Amino acid sequence: MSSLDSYKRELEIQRQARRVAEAQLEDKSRELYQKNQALEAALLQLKEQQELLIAKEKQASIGQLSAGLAHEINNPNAFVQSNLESLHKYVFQLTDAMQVLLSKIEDSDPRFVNQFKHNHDLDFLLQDASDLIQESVQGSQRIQRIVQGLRYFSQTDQRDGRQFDINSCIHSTVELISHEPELQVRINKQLSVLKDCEGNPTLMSLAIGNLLKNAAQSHPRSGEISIRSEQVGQEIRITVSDDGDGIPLDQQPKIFEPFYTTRQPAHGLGLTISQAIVRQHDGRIECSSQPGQGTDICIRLPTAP
Amino acid sequence: MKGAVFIALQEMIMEEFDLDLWHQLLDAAGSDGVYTATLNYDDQAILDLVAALCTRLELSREDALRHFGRYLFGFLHRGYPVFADSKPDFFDFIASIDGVIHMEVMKLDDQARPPKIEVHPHPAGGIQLFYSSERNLCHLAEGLLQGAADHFGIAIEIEQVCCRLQGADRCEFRINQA
Repeated sequence: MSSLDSYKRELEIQRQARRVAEAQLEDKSRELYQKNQALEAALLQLKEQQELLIAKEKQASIGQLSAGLAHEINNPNAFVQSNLESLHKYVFQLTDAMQVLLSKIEDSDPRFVNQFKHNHDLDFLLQDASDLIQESVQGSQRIQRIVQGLRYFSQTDQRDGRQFDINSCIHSTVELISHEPELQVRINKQLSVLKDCEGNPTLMSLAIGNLLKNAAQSHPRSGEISIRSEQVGQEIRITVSDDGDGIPLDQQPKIFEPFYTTRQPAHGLGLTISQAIVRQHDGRIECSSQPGQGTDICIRLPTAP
Repeated sequence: MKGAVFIALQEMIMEEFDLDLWHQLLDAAGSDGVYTATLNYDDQAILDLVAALCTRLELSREDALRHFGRYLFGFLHRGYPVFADSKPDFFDFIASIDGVIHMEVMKLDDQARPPKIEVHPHPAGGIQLFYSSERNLCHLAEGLLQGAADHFGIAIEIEQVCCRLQGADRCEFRINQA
């Protein structure tokens, strides 16, 4: 039979064992928590990679379609444009010839000429024909610009693998944009020291330029838009901000879709092209907007390895 | 060795004898007796406790380990019933030891060193079981096999054909249903 002392000793042993077990439980709980955190981070990264892959696949599909469309539209549009320009010239020449002819007749029979002009509404026809042709030429030129825009989707990887400084892209783009007369805004630059990025600086300048133009056309209340660059870990962030119209909540998911625009005569490819270029550089582009208060568009790019 | 094995030994001593004997074994083996199931302890500590038990009760090491092994199966089954409950009979269960039970142990503890168990049907009937472990606890394994047979309600005959303790590369058992 066990003595009271034995039970006391056993109680002490069990208490010690419980302390050891509790310490172990705490260690394991902490380890579990940390592993869970790591798993959640890995899951998030996987989801982001998955989204990027899906986006790249979509872009490749759009690229194939765009390449076909661009080719099919470009050729007929080229001769339509050329013919319209010739036609415009011919209308001028015909008008001149008719004027000469009518002035000859007018000398002998001015009444007939006036009647002839009046009956055939000649002055209106000649003026309107010229205007119609001019508008058609402009329409054709617009088609040409859209097709040029589609080229950025038809090449899924236009990077040339060069390391470059994004801040230099920003400086040159702002310099270029500032000379465009329709962009009546000041551009405020807040640039931090950045690591190099890998890719094509010309394309990246185009992507940034589209964001700046978009912001400038948002009717910023302060008359100013800003571009900010910052290094966050291994990520470069370029944010273009305005305090303009903002984007209605229901429209925000559509802004990167091709041909989406709220401003005519814009072709609605600017942000789409920017997104395509950023994705070609393994980056992301995000929009945050408050209707009536303004918009931030942020490009997030990995630094060069 | 897992703390669960030490706790099982204590449970057996307390069920079959009393707490005083357990404390005497701890004193003889120089152990503080503080064991938790999932921690690993020095292999020698369990051998010292078994040696102390043998001295107290005048048992052979082999008999003591067989007896403890038989008890240990029931103890482990109470804690982890799924392994035996998911198998239809004794022989299926034995075949799953290495591929299922020991694999699960390794998942939870990469420091664990379970024995290697290999099972083959014997041409003359029954099975051939090979046991390899640096701990050389083949008699404990034999007891565990008897405990498993008890659980599945069959009687078995176990013959140890060769033993690492006697110079073989690994221990071999032939097991037949009696």
